[in-house]
Amino acid sequence: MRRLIAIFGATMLVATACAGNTPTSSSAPNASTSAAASVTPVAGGRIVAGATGDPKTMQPVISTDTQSSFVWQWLYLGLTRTNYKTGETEPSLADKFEQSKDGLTLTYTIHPGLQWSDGTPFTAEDWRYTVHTVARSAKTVRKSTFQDIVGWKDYVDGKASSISGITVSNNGMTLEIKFAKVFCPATAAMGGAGGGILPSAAFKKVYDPYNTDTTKNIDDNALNMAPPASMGPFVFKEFKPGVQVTLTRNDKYFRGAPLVDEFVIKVYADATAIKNALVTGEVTYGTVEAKDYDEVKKVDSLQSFRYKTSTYNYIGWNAKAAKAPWLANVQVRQALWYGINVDAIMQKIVFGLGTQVYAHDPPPSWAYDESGLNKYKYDVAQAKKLLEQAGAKMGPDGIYQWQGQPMKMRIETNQGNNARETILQFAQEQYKAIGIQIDPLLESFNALLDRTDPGTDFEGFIIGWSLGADPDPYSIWHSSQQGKGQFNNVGYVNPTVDQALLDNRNGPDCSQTARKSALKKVDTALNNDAPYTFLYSADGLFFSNKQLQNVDPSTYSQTWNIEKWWFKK
Amino acid sequence: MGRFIARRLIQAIPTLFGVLLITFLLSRLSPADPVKLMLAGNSEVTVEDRQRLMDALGLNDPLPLQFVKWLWQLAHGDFGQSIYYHRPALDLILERIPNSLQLSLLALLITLIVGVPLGVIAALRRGHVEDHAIRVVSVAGHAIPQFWLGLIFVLTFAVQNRWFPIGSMNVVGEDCTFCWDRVWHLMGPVLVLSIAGIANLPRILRTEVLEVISQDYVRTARSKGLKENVVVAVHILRNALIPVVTSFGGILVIFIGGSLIIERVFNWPGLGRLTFEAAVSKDYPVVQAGVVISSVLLIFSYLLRDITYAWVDPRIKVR
Repeated sequence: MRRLIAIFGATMLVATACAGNTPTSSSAPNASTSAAASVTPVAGGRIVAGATGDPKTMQPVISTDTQSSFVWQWLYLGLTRTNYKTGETEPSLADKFEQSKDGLTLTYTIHPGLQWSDGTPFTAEDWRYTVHTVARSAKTVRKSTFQDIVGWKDYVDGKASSISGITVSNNGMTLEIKFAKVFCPATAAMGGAGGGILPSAAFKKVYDPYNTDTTKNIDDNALNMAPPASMGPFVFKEFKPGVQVTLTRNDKYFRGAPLVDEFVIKVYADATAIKNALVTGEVTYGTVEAKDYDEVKKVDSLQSFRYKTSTYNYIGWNAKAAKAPWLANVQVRQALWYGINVDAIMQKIVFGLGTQVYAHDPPPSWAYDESGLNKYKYDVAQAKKLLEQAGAKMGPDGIYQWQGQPMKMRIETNQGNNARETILQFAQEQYKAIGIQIDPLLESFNALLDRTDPGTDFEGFIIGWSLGADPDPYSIWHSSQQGKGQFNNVGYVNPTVDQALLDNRNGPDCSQTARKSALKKVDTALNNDAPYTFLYSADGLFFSNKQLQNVDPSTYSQTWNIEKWWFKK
Repeated sequence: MGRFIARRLIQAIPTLFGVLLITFLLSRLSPADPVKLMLAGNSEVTVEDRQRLMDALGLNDPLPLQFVKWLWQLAHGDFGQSIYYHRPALDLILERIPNSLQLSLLALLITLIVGVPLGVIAALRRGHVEDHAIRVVSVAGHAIPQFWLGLIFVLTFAVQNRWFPIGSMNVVGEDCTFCWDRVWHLMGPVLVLSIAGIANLPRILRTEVLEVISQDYVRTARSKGLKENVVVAVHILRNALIPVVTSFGGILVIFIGGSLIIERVFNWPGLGRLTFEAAVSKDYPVVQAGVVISSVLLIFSYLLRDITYAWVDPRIKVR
C-alpha cells in the first residue's frame, strides 16, 4: 500500500497497519532484544495496541483506512505475505506460487490441512469468492488490481456468472489465474486478494456472487463488523465503538496458536495519547515519532528497536507551475536540491535517526541502489552557478530574475506537521541564500491535497510517500498519470522513465533482476531530473514492554511472529 | 400551554431549515472530498476506482440534488449512512449519547453542588474574605482554557504520577458502568468540565442573590421570624435562580453533544469526539445528523427553559 504520508506525518501510529503488504529493510535493533531463546515461554496475558480511531469496517473488500486494516489483518490473511525484512513475497497460506514463462498464468498451491477458526477447511475457493465480491462491490477501491484477469469485465458487467480466468482444482488445493496481459506486481498483489481472503462459507450465507445480478454486493451486511471466522492468529470477540476491539487467540492458527490469550486494539484520540499510553504501560507496543524518542527511551519498562522504513519526505516542484516557469528547467531544480542542507534538516527533525534519499526507491527496498546517484551535497556556489547557467540573472534586491520576473514562489505544506513545518522554514532561509524568495504557506491537510492536484496553480510543496513492498512507481512517475486525482502532480515527463516503468510492470521478464534494472533507470533519471528534492527516510522507532519476548520488528512488519510473543514473568 | 408549544414548534421550522442548509453548504464547500481524504493519496488506488466510489456514495451528483435527496431522506426519518463506517449515521450517534451523558450530567451535578453554595456565600458574605476568595477562584477558573487544564491534568496526574488513567472509560479488561474503575476514569474529565461551570455559576448567582436580598418580600420573610436558612433557600435562592436557568438554556445540547475538547483530551468515546472526527474526515452524513439532532434539542431545550421559568417564578405566565 503506497500512500502519501498523511495527517499526522511520517510516523504510522499503529504498528504498520498495511497488513500483509510491506517491503524491506536493514533492521537495526537498538536494544535489549529478548534473551528468550533459552527460557521456556509462558502462555497467557494480553497485548494492547493503540489505534487513532475505530475500524470503519472489519472486512478487507471495502476497507480503505489504516484503522480498519489494523483489525482485519489479524483475521484475514493472503496466500502470500511480504517478508518482514526483505520485502520479498513469500509463501503464507499457499506453499508455492509460480508464474508461467509467458507471465500470463499464476498458479498457487494451497498449504494442505488449513482450517478456519470455525473448523471449515480453507481452500482456493475462499480466494475465488473474495475476488468475485470485489468485482461486484460498489464501495471497493481494489477493482483495478484484478482488471487484467481473463473474463473480469464480462463478470463485472453481468454478462457472466463467474470470472472465467480463475480456476480452482485439485479439491480446492490449486488456484490458477489467467491474465490478459503480463503484470509483474501481480504475484504480490494477487496473493492477498487485494487485501485479505474472506471465509466464503460464512459470507455466502449473506451474499452469493456467482450470478449475473450486478445490483447486489457484499458492501452492507452485518458480518462486515462481526468477522465470522479467522485464518489469522486471532479471532474477533467484541467491538466497543470508540473504545476498543477485542480479539482472542486462534487455537487453529496454522503457524501455531499464539502464546498470549488476547489482543486488544484500543482507540486513542491521537499519536500523543498513544505515546502517553505506551509510557504508562497501558499499551504494550507501538512506534513513536523522533521528537519523542529520547523521552520514551528513558522509560525503564520499555525496550526499543530501530529499523529502516519504506517512506520518504520530499519537496515536489511543479514543472507546470504558471507562476514559476523556471521549475520546468532541470538546472533550476538541481540548483534547488544543491541549495538546501538536507543533512541539517535531518539532524533537526529526526536527530539523525534516518537516511538521506536520492531517488524514489527507499533504502529498505530490494530495488534500492544508490550507486552512481548524485548526492547533491549542500553547495550554495554550485546552486547559484546552475541558476545562472539556466539563464537566471541576479536582480538588484539579491533575488534572481527569470526572463525579467523575480524568482519568487510559494512552497506549501500541512499545518500541524512539525517535521514539514521545519523543512519549510529551512527552505525559506536557505533558498534566500541562493537568491530565490519563498513565500511559505501552511494549510490544512485537506487543502494541501486539494491544491496540489495536477494543475498549474501551485509551485512547491512538502509531503511524503509511504511505499509498499513491491516497487511499482508507475502511478507516481509515468507521464500519463497527470489527470485530476492522479499522482504525477509535478508534471514529470521522461520517455526513458515511461518505458522503464512499463518494463517493470509488464515485463515480459518479471524476474527481480530484470525489474531491478528497469527501476535503476527510473531512479537514475529521477536523481538527475530532480522533479522532487528528495529529502530523507525517517527510521521506524519501535518500543515494546520489556517483559514481552521474541519481539522482532522490521520495515515491512513489526508483528510478523506475534504468535511467538510472550510475557516473561 | 398546548398552543404555546405548537406555535414555538412551527416557528422552529424555518430555523431548522436554515441550519440544515448552512451545515450542508459549509461541509461541502471546504477543501477536499471525503474520498480524497479517505484514500489520502494512496497511489495504488486508480482514478477509476475513486470515481466508482464517489458514484456509489452519491458524491458526484450536483449539490442541489444532493441537498434535496438528503432532505427527502430526513423527511422519512433516515439520517443517511456514514461514508466511512458504512452504517446508519443515527446508530453511530445514538450509541455515543449515553457516554456523553455520563460525563455531562455528573459535571452539571458537581457544578450545582459546588457552584450554588459558593454563589450564595459570596453574596451573603459580601466584602468579606470568603467573597474575595471566591471571586479570585472564579476569575482564575474562567481564565484557564479547558483544553489546557485537561492536558495538564493528563500530563501531571496520569502520565507523570499515574494517579489517574490517561483516558477512556475503563481499563482494558474491565467492562463496567457502576464500578470504582469507571468512577476513577470519570474523575479527570468531570473535574475539568465542572471547573468551568463552577467558575461561572457563583458570579451570576452572587449578583442575583444581592439583588433579591434587598427585596421587600425578603425583609417581610425575615420580619415574620422565619429562620435565616429558610429565607435563603425558599425566598432568596428560588428567585435568584432565574438567570441561572437562562444561562443553562442550552444545557440539553451540552448534555448530549458532550464536550468536544474534553472528550478528545480524555479520550472519552462520546458524541463530541465522534462529531469532531466526522467533521475532520468530512463524513457528511454523521456531521449533518449530529447538527440536526443538536438543533432539535436546542429548540426543545429553549422550550423547556421557558416552561421552567414559569415553575421557578409563578409571576411569569406562558403566553
